[in-house]
Amino acid sequence: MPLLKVEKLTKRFGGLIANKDISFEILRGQIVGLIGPNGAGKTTLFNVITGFHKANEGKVLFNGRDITNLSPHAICKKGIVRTFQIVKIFDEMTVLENIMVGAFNRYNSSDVAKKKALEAFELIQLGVDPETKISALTFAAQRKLELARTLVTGPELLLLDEMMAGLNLTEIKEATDLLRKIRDSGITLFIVEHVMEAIMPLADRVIVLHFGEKIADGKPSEVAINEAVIEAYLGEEYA
Amino acid sequence: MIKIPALIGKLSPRYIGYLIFIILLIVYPFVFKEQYSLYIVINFLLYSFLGQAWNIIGGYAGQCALGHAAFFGLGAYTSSILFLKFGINPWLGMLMGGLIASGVSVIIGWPSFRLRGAYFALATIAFAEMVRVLFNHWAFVGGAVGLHLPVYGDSLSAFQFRSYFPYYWIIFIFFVLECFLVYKLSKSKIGFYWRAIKCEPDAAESIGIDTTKNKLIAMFISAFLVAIGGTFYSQLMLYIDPRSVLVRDLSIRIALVAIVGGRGTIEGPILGSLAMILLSSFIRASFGDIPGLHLVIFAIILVVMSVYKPLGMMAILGDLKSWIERRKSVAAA
Repeated sequence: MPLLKVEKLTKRFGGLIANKDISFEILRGQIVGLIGPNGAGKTTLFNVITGFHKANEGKVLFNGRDITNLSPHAICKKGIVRTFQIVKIFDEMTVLENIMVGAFNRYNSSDVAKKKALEAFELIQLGVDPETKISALTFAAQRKLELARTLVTGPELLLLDEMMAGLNLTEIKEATDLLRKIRDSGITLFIVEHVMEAIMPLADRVIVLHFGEKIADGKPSEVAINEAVIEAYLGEEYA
Repeated sequence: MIKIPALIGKLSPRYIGYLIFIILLIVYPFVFKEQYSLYIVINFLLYSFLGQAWNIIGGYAGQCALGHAAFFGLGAYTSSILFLKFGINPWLGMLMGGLIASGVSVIIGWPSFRLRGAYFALATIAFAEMVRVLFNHWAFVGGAVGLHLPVYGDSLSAFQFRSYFPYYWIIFIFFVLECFLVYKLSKSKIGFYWRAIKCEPDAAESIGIDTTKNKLIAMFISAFLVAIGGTFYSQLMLYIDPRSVLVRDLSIRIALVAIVGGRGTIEGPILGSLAMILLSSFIRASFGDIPGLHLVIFAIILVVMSVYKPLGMMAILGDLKSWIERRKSVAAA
């Protein structure tokens, strides 16, 4: 049984079809990339899967159970957590408190939540004190912090929305290693990414969206030479 | 035996401050025995109590509710009506008033929590106005004339006394218990959830926080406490009418003490209440009784604060603390 199964999903905003009849499956333990030009509907798809937008048609099945149009917090409880394209950190809290909020998803006691948060804090290696204020963090550090906060909620599937955007090469390398480590710990990853150098070597499979439709789905090496994909990215004359 | 100096040595300056503040409040009524001196501090404690209750929803959970007079009035009216018409003990009436206010807060919170920012504030203002207009025209609750509670003299069970002295202790105990409760909540899971919802509601949802439910809980507790303050007020004055317990003015004052003092901190509402009481006493002494002048000045302070110090007087204290620390490190170097 696939971990996530999306069936004939359609999302419309008025006359605009952001996701059209999309179907795919994600197997446990995979890293799956979701790519496509700007406006292809990648973030919308994430929003529908995680309950931030309601689907007009179609179904989302997680572990075989229908989770279509549940509220985001209920979907998190089932085991799907996402990050945001624009970092959303609780800026009135310290680094550790930010992670603690996520840990409360599984633990009620502040002491236990703090202990679990400290473990996740070690994993992301920010190189700062856990009591640091958010305003003192670099952009890359905020991205990592957001990742740590999702990890402590205990997800089975992690949806990352352009985590590499705005990072330099060293930071991309660090992030890539971190994501492999997370995958090896048993968490499945579904990643929207614009940085091809990052996603192509990392992903086991890549799904390509174009104008709201799925145009390719396969190994990165296959997708890279797929004519429809090259056309979508580079224009017709290159195909 | 516990060595007290050693114990104090272990406490942080903040806790020593709390301790001194509590001791001052305990000693005060034995030193300043005049009724007016007691009345001033009762007022200070009542506004601290109300501001702290608002702080739960407005400060920690970050939802700018501006209709808390409705809950204050519901508390005052429920206990008074139950006592006058059904002979129910005002202490019991106080709890029932709290529950009614909480119940109403959930009914108003459910639809209006879908609104964010200024729209939520507007919805709460409109709701409080509806309650005021209703009570103003409802003959059963005395309409615009209001309600007089019968005088029994000194009676703890009837919650009324001839002197302000017992009232002082009642509101003091309410206030201390409430601060303890809010402090405990702020350090627990729900306190973290409220702060998360205040900063980034979408991110909070995404990591498993039922934002609507947690905001409703904040509103529930906040309304309950404010209603208790309402009963205290009606027992203190033995007279209530919509003009005194249901007006917009009161809603704004409740929010203001917390905002000016520093929302989302335990000390904020207390500092704000202190500032408001001192300011209004000072203005009354210097300018005579120009009604509402202290509110005008308070509003000006609020505008200036919102621009330069949106986190209130607590932020100024924080700046002061880091300035002193810098001076110390300069002196040490």
